Amino acid sequence: MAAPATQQIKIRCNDEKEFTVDRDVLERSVLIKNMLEDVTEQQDAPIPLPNVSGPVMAKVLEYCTHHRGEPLPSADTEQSQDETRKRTTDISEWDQKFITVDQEMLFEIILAANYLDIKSLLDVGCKTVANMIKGKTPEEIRKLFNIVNDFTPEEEAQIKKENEWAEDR
Amino acid sequence: METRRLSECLEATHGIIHANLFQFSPIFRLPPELLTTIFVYLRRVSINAYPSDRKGSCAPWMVVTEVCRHWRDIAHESVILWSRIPCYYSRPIIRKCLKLSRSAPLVFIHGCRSSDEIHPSLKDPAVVSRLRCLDVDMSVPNSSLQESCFLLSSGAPLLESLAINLNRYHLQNEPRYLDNLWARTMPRLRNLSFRECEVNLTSPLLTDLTILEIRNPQPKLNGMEFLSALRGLPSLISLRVASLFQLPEDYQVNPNYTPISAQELPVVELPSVKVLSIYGSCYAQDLDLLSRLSFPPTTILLFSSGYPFHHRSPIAAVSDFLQVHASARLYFGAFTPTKVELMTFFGRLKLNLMYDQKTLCAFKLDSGGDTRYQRHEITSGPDLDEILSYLSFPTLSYFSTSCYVVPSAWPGISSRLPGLKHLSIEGICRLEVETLFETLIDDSQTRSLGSWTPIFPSLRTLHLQDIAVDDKFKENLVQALRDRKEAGSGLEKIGVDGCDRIEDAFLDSLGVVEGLTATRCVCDDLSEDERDLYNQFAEELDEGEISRSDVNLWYYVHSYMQDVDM
Repeated sequence: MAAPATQQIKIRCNDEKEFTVDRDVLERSVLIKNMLEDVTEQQDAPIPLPNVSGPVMAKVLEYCTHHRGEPLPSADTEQSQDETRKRTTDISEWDQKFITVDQEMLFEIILAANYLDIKSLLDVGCKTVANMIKGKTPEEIRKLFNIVNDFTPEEEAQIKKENEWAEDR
Repeated sequence: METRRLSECLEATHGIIHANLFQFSPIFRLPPELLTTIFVYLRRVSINAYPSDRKGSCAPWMVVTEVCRHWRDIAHESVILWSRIPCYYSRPIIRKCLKLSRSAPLVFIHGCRSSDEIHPSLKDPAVVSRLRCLDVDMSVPNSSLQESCFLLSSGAPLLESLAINLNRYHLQNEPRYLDNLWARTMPRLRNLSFRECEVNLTSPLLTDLTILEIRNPQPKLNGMEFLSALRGLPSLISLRVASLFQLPEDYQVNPNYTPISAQELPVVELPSVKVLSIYGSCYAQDLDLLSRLSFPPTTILLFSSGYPFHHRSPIAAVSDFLQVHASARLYFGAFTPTKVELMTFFGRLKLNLMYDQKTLCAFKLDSGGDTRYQRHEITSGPDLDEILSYLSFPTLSYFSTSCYVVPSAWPGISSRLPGLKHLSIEGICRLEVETLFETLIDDSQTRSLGSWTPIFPSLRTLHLQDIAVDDKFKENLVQALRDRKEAGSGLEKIGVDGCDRIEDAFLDSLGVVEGLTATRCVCDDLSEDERDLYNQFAEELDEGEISRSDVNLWYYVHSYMQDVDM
């Protein structure tokens, strides 16, 4: 007996760009998975995704396609988010290559992963940003992300002093 | 006047521009909770990554509080960032953590440092009542431990994990650590680790534990009482013990101690146990007693000794275990404490390697040296060769060694381990081009025969730990891996771990091989279900309790269990 054909689902992004995607790929997104479970009858109208643009969705779908079939993470409590997900800080080779994009796209992917509730992609994005910050001085971080230093020189000196290694038993 | 007005106007405009300029930075589109997540990751990855302007900072991740007001506010609002407090934080930073973590449960790790006394915050009942995890290493003399333990007994309602390492010889007044009073005040305690401490086996504190570790208790335990106590721990998932019982040779001989033969002791079932570790059991007596334990066939067993097994070799001892034949996982570590040619107990070991372990999937042959500091002995010899000749396990999936295996031995090992999927090699610090890997990867010997039969044809992952190699070797390895992949090898992943400075560059060079994933840790693709146990190992790894190779061992073993669908 032939295997049942994979159900195709249409989605529409905020720039009207539409994608037709295998259901199991889309279900990497808990948001979409829940939406599909709530719909009992098959419908042809595309699922609107007002917070994601076409180019970003294309990247997200690339990720979801690569990781299709992998077990989905269970719902995390706030505590277990710190204790479990964030312990493994390594990023796999494929994910590293995937996330090697410009800053604009990187943060759009993170926001999309957050909106679509794709925890593993969100983790990859956040770990990547953490690695970008690692080992840098405040000035280097500001330069990296185009952040303005809005501390007064006095405040800056005070904060730096607070964080310094100091033993005042 | 006009100039002054224009100047003030210009200054105000600058202020407005500065105040809003952040909106043009893409990172500021992230909501606070995502920035917090990034900061939490940063805390984990930057333990040793100091910004160039402050090499001495104890908490380099705190640099995020110095970038701008927005980041500082978010960091200060994130209690999760401040509630894990390692001992190496300076006292002002600890005070800051205690303040900014507000009322959140605390994970407090108090390590041993010379002249350290217990941190003053642990004398504060308000802090103690917030503790979720406490790890105290009191291996140096201190006067305040009693006081802190008293505070713990007065109320630690959130405490889930407690670890105390104590050197009793430094104490003037010996405290009792496990008693009924503590049990009442720690209703959430599930993870207990006591090293060098007195242990009261009748304490109800033990009842709900899922993880128990007892190392070298003082005084030593009574075997009958220990087994009885275990019977009362139906939820136990992990049991790790070391040097539990008194030996006649023990320098702290208790004249009232009467050893009991293991066969006289009852069998105790541990229905939930997944990890059973017996370390430091330099004599067989610990193993004898523990052979009365019955556990599920999927239990991970770890055996190690700080000394050679004088009285019996590890496999012989294990053969007495009730269900070892059904167990797929065995790990023998550090049973060869000196360099290989001095392993005088090889004779017995050789016999026991012939023991019929049809289900053995993981085997670690440890030289006993420390691979990180190049004290590892690189040697070979007839003893090791002969030991390796006995490595004949049809189901062996994982083999790890820190012994130096001569290149010519690998083809033979390959033929006797036909199912080997994961190979881990540690600490071959003087490895040269014309050695192991040329044989292992390039397969020149078999290639020259006209038909390419790769060594370890089923090999999927290769892990190199603490391998110091030169650039020429790296180039050759990359080429050899590329050749092997092009020839159709199923090798999927290569893991390199050790010195950051060396290995990062090494990983970069390996990453260019098409179809091969190069990664620091091979176990980076676990499912959520797998992570609970992994995290237990990883947590200990963080604290330096176990090596990365042990985490990898678990990973390989887990992979095997999935493969065979046990």
